[in-house]
Amino acid sequence: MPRIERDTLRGHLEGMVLSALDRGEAHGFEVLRRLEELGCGSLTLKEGTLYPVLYRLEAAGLVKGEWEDDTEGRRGPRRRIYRLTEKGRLDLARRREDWTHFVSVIGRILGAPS
Amino acid sequence: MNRSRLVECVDRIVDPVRAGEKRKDRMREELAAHLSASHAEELARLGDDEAAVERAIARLGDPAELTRGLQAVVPLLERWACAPVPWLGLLDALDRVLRRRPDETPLRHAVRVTTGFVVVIAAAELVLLSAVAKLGVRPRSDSTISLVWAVGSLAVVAVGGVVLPLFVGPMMRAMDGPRRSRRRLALLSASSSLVVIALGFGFAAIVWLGGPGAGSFDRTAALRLAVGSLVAPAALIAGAREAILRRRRRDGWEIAQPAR
Repeated sequence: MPRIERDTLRGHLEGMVLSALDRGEAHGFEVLRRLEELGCGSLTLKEGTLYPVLYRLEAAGLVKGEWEDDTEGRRGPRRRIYRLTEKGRLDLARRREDWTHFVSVIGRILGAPS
Repeated sequence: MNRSRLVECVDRIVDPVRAGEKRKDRMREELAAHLSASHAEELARLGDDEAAVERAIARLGDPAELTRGLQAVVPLLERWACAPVPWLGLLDALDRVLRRRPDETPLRHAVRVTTGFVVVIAAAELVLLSAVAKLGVRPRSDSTISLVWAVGSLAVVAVGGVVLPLFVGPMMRAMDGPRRSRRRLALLSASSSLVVIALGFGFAAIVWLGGPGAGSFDRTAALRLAVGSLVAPAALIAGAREAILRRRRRDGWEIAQPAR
């Protein structure tokens, strides 16, 4: 299967992250895991690029991040757990609608027989 | 070794970002947690520690590009407020001198810093006194009284400078980690206040020994001492908190430990 590189993903990453968080709260590493799993191994993403996206979404109020409780015995630096806000859920629904419309229109054009 | 490689990678990405330290600490810790997890994953897959570190760093992406990405999410006002200023290098240099060195005990650190302060204050007092003498200005009090006050203030700075920083370590343990205890923190705060009060009485004793004309411990002095005794624990707690954040960032991450 051809790999989908970062440039192709540009503009869609925020929606994809929101969608990954729609499955439940997660830290950054887990979000990437979900994206890989949903992408069936076709996504090629430099992992660090996720964090500016998460920060943008948080600043826009679409996700809310909280440090995990560091007293639970896990060693190492604390992870920040993100969850969708109500605003984020509405935004994701709008993005899904837009995407369905986009795919149906472009699909009709590209799929039309000559 | 690996821990330092991973921390270096985080620093290389986050240090150049123009943002407040709080925001940068958040970025550092989050990236460190991510690197820690990907390192553990690669270690389980490859079985070689060095290769796992290299792979975890490579997976994160180009550091310069990540720096640009992180910079882009910093609000304009904050970016502007954190723009480099010419004398910042001087403050950084001072901070490096005052910071506790890795192999230094708390007592040695306190003695080194205090000695420096006392020398600087004594030198400033000497310069001031010689300038006053050269200008022929007649002091309001006689030279013995000036000397008593100068010695008293230096003694207070020296003893306080050595004793008070020793509270920071126990306060850090009371604020963070498995043995954290609010009761112990309150006890330590109260003790540091008592040290300040004792220093105030020590100063009063030096002044009293200087003779009847050297001044007295009046109500204003008592008020200053009370304020000082309240400020000291607050300053020490702030110092301990800063040290905890720094330790979390540098040493407490245990970054090479597999994240569970």
